[in-house]
Amino acid sequence: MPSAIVLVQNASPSTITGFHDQLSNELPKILNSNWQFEFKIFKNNPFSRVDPSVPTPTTFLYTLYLSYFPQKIISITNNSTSSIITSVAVSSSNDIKTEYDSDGDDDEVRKPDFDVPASHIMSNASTGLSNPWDSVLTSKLQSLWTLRQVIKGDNGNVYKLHVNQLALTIPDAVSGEPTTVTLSGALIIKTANCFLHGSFKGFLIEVEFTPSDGQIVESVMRKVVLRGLMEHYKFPLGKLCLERLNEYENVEDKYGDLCHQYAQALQF
Amino acid sequence: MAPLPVRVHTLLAMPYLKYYPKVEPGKVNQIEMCKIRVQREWTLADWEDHTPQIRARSVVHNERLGNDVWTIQLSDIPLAGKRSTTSQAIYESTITSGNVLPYLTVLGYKMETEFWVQGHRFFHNRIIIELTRIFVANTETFQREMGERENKTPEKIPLQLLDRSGQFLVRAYVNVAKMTDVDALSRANTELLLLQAELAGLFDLAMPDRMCMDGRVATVQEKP
Repeated sequence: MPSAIVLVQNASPSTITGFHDQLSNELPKILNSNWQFEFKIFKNNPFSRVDPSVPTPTTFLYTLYLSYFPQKIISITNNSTSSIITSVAVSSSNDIKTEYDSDGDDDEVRKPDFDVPASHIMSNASTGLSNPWDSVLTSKLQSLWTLRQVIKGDNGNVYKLHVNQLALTIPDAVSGEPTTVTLSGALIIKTANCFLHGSFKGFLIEVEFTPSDGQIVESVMRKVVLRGLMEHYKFPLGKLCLERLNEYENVEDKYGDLCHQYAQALQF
Repeated sequence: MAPLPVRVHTLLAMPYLKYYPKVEPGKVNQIEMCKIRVQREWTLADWEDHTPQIRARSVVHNERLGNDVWTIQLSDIPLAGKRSTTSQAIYESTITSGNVLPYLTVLGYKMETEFWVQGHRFFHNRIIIELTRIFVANTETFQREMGERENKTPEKIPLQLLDRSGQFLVRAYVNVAKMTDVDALSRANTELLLLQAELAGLFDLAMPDRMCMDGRVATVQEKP
């Protein structure tokens, strides 16, 4: 499931409505008309040192909250090669997927993935009264991390396009020669307006492509495929971030990659 | 509610940096550094009981254990003043995906020690009565086994009781969701005092020393 972020920094109202019209022509399924995200940037506290005379190199810690991934906080640092997800939700038998979308897609159904297992609380490893991780960082870890920026995204749309036997001419990953690939799958596009402490900072587009054949496209191919799709659907030009958190890792770290891309895109 | 077993595997981590606040006249520096506890369920699969020998997996030899569900817990020093029960703010967050060990390192923490808690929990109204024993790694037996096994690390390491006399620690407490919920706090206080009176003679429940429950790390004062 390769993902990417495009941040259109000099977006005008017409860029936003234009892109909406453009996508509407493809007859997408509009999944959720109001999603939000909150991205927090923490910087290491310069007064915390190994030795008072040796300054500590600057590091950043990021936390990402996505409204479509409720009660979870994704966190990485700029030195991380893997992410962590914290949860305040407890899984219970009520969370078993009962309702599906009419077409069998379950994008809207809350999955119990990454919830706190009940046995974890039963064993007394947790009191069951968790705090969101970003609030623990701001309240108890101030000696190590200070909150620098909070970037909020709202007024967003979520579009789902069914890509069906789309022939794309993209440069080959190895030789660079133009080759034609046929793609089928689901393309989910989420758009949001970004605000840094109240001022508009750009139009953010989050793209995710899930090939229907379940193939996990290798790192290099991911990028060309996504670039090809963005070109095909005439995405507005902007800062494109499609690096993965750990390019050499074969295990899928979807949320880690996404958090890394937010971190790359939202640097002001 | 039926009693529940207590089985917790805890890592105690300390910040590896020291906090050197800039001392400015007229400015009170309130920022403190805290130790953190990182806890996971000590699962049955992870527990080998050949009484008196109990064994468990340790993160020192199993980096992969870091991928389990772990809860990070920090606590304030218990509230000061003349009180009849101890009350302490606890902050926690549960990591449900990803490896906690490299994250702890980038967060600024290193593991200090690890211990295992086993016991029982009983529920009386809102009060939780906990009877527990603490186990730590038995380094002597571990060294001997390592010698016998030609330095091949066993999957589970031998443990021993921290308190060799085998006594249980009894703790009676109430979890309150919000520190600001004064009503709930005073209700808990009353309930605990009632329990203390009821159990007098069976267990003499007493308030622990506030300083023993201090989760902070001493701040270094910058030399002028």
